[in-house]
Amino acid sequence: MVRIDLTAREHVPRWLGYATPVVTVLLALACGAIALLALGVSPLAAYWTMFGETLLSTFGRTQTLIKAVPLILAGLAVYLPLRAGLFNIGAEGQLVFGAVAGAWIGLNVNLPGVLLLPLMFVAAGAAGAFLAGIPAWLRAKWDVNEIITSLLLTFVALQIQSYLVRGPMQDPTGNFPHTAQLSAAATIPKAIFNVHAGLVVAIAAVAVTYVGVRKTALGFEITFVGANDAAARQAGMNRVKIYLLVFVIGGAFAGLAGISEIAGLQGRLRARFEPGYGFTAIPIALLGRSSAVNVMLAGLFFALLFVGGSSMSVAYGVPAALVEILQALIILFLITAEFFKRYKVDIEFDRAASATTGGEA
Amino acid sequence: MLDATGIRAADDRGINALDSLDLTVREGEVVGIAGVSGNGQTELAEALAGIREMTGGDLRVNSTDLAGASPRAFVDAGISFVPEDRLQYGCAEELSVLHNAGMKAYREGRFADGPLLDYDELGSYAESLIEEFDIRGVSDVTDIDAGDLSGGNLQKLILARELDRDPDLLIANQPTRGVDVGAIEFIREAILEQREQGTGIVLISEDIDEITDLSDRILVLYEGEFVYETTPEAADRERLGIEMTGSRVDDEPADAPEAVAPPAGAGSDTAEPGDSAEATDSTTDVAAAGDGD
Repeated sequence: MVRIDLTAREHVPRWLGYATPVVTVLLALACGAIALLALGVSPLAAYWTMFGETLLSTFGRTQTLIKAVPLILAGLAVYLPLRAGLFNIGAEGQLVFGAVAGAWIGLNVNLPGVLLLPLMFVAAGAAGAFLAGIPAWLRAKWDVNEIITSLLLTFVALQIQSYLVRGPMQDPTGNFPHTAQLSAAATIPKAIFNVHAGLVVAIAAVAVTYVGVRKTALGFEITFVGANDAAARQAGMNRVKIYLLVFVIGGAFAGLAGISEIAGLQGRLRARFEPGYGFTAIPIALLGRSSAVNVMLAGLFFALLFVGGSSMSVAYGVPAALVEILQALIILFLITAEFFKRYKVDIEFDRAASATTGGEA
Repeated sequence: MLDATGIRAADDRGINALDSLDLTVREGEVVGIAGVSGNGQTELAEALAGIREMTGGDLRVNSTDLAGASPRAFVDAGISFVPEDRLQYGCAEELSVLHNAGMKAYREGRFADGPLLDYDELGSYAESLIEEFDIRGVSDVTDIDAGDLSGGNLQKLILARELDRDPDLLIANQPTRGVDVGAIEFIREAILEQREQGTGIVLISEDIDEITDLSDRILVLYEGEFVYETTPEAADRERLGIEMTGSRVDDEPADAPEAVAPPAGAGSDTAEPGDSAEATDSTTDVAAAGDGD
């Protein structure tokens, strides 16, 4: 007889808060191992290729950092609203909006790079902020569910992008559904480790977010609104301001992710630019939700997962979808971990009792 | 200093809960509002604290017009609020004692460190409140969450935060409900001490003892209207009880026998069935309800 006792925890021990993300990832990898075994691949060898070899090669490290840029920025776009108790599910749309606005400036404004690139980033940030501001305002003013509006606006953004890239912004010299190549002035130069300067922007965004949330009065308000908006209102904090702010800044970060991906990596905007980073940003923000630095670590981890995952799928002939399975498992275990954070589970194996109760039954 | 005329407010369902109330509170005066819960106490407290929109009337504190103002304006006007539901408006359970202690104070200049918020200073502020109000169970103000505290200690924390601002007006809605005996005594004393500092206090309670012990003036709220006004000296517990249930006391003739009754009622706090037998049926209910508190 197994007796399972659930008791609500009165106090969540600190170590549990730190252990959750790590345990979550390990459990997801363990479950992923089952899928690998089923495919006839040794999980240890596969995971070694995925993580070890990627991290040991210069190419792997560079690719991971490049991949991490949009993931960290988009992760922050979800993290910041999450601090205020809101879900920004539309980072993908904000990212795409940023890519469109930044690319438009890059294609149509004639300035030297030192001026053009900042202008492109500002435009991209503003576009992402604008798109994110809509669900925030609807939520703050009329309590319209921001999960739904931000998600649906993503599809609006994708359609607008598709129209613009196939129409007004299309490369005049060809018939392909993409824009012209960005000029050298509009291309983000390499900064460190052979990675474009978007990495610097991402790290700066992490630093600003960390200090903003942890050290300023505004961050105090964001945290309070996120924890109990009724009490925050009673204390005179302005919920509308906070909701707008976290979404607008978050959207701006997503916009920066979009333009850094286009001007730093792809060189031109394609009609079907839909990288999915905005959605991956959700598990990243959940995994790193305790601080912006953790969001950065989670972003790096997911970048490693993607880069390593593709080399694993090449090396062992396993479907690349395995990486998506791992991603899904991480979310699943995160939710489970929340449960264990909230409740203490005592399992008792009582053999004698099982014998007697079994006999009576 | 608090001057409210004709204030009206609706409850959560949009039904009118306050019917043109007039209320004035002077400096250093405790106005006790007695009544059975659900007669507009919550709405009155929230309207006076600025978190429930008034549907009519005029509200001035120290001649600042607060009708339709934001909750922030109420805080800035020197109004403190001890809400009835600690976990709803009083604190954020999942945040630390530091956060909850600084819930209103964080804006003050002394906690500003350039563009940053001085968390160390907030921490020592929280510790000073804990010391001063004898709040137990807080080993570390950043580690212990408000939700970890017992009801009494949490209520003390909220009261400490609201009183430390040295408010001009304190709205306290059921400040001792669900609180242990030791904390009840402490909270009542703290309220009386604050009164000495010149704070005007609106004390809303279902507990007739609390109302008569702490108030300078007593109003009975029934179905959103003040139906009776008295002072603790002149107050007659039975009459208060009857008014709280809304049973109209026939003015002069009915008053006469009751004027005789008080000695008996006052002599024994617990109204015996024999005492109430003389009065109407509803009196019996009230006496019972009063004892329950």
